[in-house]
Amino acid sequence: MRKVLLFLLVLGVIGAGVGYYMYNKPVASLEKKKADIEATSDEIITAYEADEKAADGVYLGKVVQVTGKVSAVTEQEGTKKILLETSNPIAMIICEMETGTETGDVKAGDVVSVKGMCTGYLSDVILVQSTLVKK
Amino acid sequence: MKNLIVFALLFSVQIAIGQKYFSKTGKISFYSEAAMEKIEGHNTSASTVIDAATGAVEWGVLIQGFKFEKSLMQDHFNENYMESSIYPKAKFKGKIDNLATVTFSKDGQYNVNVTGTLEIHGVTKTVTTPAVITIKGGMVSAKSKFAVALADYKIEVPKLVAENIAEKVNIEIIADYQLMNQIP
Repeated sequence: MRKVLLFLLVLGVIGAGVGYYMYNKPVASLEKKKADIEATSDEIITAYEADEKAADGVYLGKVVQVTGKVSAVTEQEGTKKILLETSNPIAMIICEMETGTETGDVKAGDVVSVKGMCTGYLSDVILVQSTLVKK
Repeated sequence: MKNLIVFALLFSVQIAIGQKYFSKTGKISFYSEAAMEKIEGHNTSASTVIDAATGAVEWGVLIQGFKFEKSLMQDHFNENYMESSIYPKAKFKGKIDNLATVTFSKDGQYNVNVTGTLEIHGVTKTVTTPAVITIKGGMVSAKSKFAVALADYKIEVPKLVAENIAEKVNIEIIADYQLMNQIP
């Protein structure tokens, strides 16, 4: 009987520990996560401009690896963004980089692959928690 | 030739629309302060346009782009409350009520009221909020603070966590605008 109680107690402590850990877990990095889908910046913007709802069905909330030509690299209050050109001169794929991510020597004109979670379309398509994909 | 077309397009758009200001780096933060827990989320990629000629104001933000301190907060926010896979955006479309008090060509801090429709979680409501437009050296920035009652937008909080989530959430928005014809 005592053994059973002890067992239950240990189980309870472990449960509470796991619960506490889960409760406080920070947002996980996507760096090691495999992309759900790969596409070029043109493919993504074309899909969104044709049918936003259908494109959301494909990309929204997914880890997307996008390849495109860099239009600009910006930094504002510690948030870095890599903007990728698309076939539409005024629409971009805006990749909000994961906090602390280095963008190294990436500059306008480079062709790069970026992996991030697609949050949808606001005249641009926006990816968050992005990281550069090493070639 | 392509450059020429783009140039012609931008030029013609500019004539048609007059002075418009836009930002794609608008910041929207929300703060839920309940008895048991404080929760905040931040988004730094909101889109916004102000039309200086008509006073029209628009904002758009993607719900899944809000960042949180804890993973569970982000999951619950998206899945349980905002249902962001069904309603991926929040939008505001309105007008500056007292546009005449703002001189876009003159430095200053202008207090305005903005009235329009706010769409969150698929529910659209008419709202009015005070805002401040600041003009400094030709640069336009704007900010506003207002509160949103979750029940108004059919965001249901289970009784079990009622102590953790405020019934009214405070929202702060801020943006530094650029003139529309300066699109890179």
